Amino acid sequence: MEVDSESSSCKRFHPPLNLERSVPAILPASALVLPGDAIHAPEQNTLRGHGISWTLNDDPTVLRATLAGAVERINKLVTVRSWRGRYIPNVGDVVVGRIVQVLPASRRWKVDIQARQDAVLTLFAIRLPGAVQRRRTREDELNMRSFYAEHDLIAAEVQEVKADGTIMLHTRLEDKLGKLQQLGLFVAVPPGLIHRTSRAFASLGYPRLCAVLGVNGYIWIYWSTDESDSAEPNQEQLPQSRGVKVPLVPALTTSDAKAFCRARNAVLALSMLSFSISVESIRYVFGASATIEPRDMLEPPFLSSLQDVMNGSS
Amino acid sequence: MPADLSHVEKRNILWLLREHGVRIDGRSFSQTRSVSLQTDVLPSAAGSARILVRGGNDVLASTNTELRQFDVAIDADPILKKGSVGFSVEFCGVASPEFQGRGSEVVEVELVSLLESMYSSSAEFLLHLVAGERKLASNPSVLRVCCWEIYVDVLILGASGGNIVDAVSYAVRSAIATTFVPAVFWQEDALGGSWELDERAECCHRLDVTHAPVCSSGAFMSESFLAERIGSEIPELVVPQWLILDPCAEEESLAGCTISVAGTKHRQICAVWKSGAEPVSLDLTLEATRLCETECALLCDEMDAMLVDMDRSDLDEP
Repeated sequence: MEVDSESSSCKRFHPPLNLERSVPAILPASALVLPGDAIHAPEQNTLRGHGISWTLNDDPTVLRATLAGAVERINKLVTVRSWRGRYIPNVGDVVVGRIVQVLPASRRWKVDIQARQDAVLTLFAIRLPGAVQRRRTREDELNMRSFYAEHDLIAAEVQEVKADGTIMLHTRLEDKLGKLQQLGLFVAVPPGLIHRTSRAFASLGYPRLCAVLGVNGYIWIYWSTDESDSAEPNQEQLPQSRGVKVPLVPALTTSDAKAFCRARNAVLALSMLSFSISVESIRYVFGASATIEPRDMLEPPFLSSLQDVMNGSS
Repeated sequence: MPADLSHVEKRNILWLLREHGVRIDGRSFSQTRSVSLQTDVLPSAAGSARILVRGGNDVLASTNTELRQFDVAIDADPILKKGSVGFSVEFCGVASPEFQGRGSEVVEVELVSLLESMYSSSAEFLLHLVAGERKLASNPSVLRVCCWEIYVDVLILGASGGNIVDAVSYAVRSAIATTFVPAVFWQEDALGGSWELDERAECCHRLDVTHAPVCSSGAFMSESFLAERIGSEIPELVVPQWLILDPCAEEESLAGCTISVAGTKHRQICAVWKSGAEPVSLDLTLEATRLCETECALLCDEMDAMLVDMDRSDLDEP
């Protein structure tokens, strides 16, 4: 990708980015609406869902949007999903969450997943160490903080959304769910930018650099430990950590560290331009930015050239 | 509003700093983020500016002006003839739920007091706010001075990017720089005379911000948080190891303390402000102040160049 070398010279103040052109690039233009826009619904008996307004006096085939976002059609149900809104949970979604509160009395954790309310993870919905299925004892209740403490990040699956909106999570099924304790960093983006795919855990195309793309817009970019010891992460005591047990830091070079920052900035660049975020798009930006330093990836010259290229390709 | 980080994230940030000398967004220690600046956003205000810093800082500043006249003795110290600047800072409750309620009031008061101390100690800037002076015919030993009073309203629409102090100071300075004031002249009349305004476009001019300060902040990062986890040991005094300029939210929440220096283009320090509990040695503080002071001068130059550019493009367009 060509970045104008003259304009990339260090200029701290710049006029606001012109984001107008990028809007049709998220989805086909017909699928994007602003409040008041007409949505054509030629079928009979359309079901009008969230973000749709229609009164009896209106033309039955024209609906009006009340939100800015993408039109979603599931059979006859038409809804508008706002792309700056909060995450709407669906059963089976893999999400990344941050523990907000530990409640040993009610045997549950409260987890922030960028939804309208905090999700609930009960003690019964986690995998105990050793992967043994057994009754949860009083001792487990007292040890809840040693499983997940406040501010810890976890990967979990939405188990159930109750009628009152309570979101139940579980971390049981896979090895990969549970506490995110590899060396990594956390990025939050608007949930509407992330598409539901079956692949929440993915490699970013750089050796050992992986990401968890939570459908809720929380993303964890991390260095995977070797595949062989994935079941039990390698524990080693580091001199700097003064007795705190931490997973082994893989021997990484400075260029690895820069690739790490590059991956983070790739996600942020996509989110700043409101492009959809998937493993492919992160990999694309990661590759496209190879000629510049990671720190220049969030500067206007790169962003505007990225915008041009992405608009052209879509 | 700094975020709470998990233990792994903290370790990762420190690991990048310690082993590789990079920050999580790939910047070097002394590199600041680029800032998007937009001026004249509010047509009803005398001057306005909006600052967007990536990561979520969004600050809107607007100015209103008022004339004030007072009498000084004709041989009085010229320092007495000066205008004044007043500030109000508000976190916009509609913009984000975290600003609702009274939680942000402490930060608002702190920011106002910082801005007030910044501007009240930049004497040259205040001297330039004098609009006119006139010897009174009735009393020759008295000088009647007319000066501008500027009221700056700052509205914070987003503060999730960390380092809100600098963003506010950029917004205030650029809002003042875009403020148009009319010419002021003395009109003699039967009652003695009064100050009159000439609001013809060719007589209006922008306020002079050559001596207005801007703020530059740095955060001291240390590994002291690793010591906290050990209950039995008495935590020893940890010397902060790295100074980073323009900390982002993650770095800010991990920093032992931050230092904000307000300086002008001519490298005059107007205010120094430290927040955070961690002690810092005198040498480090001096070094940090010097670094921030240089940064302030650069910032002022770049901001002025940008404002001149924008003025020029405004003229070209019609």
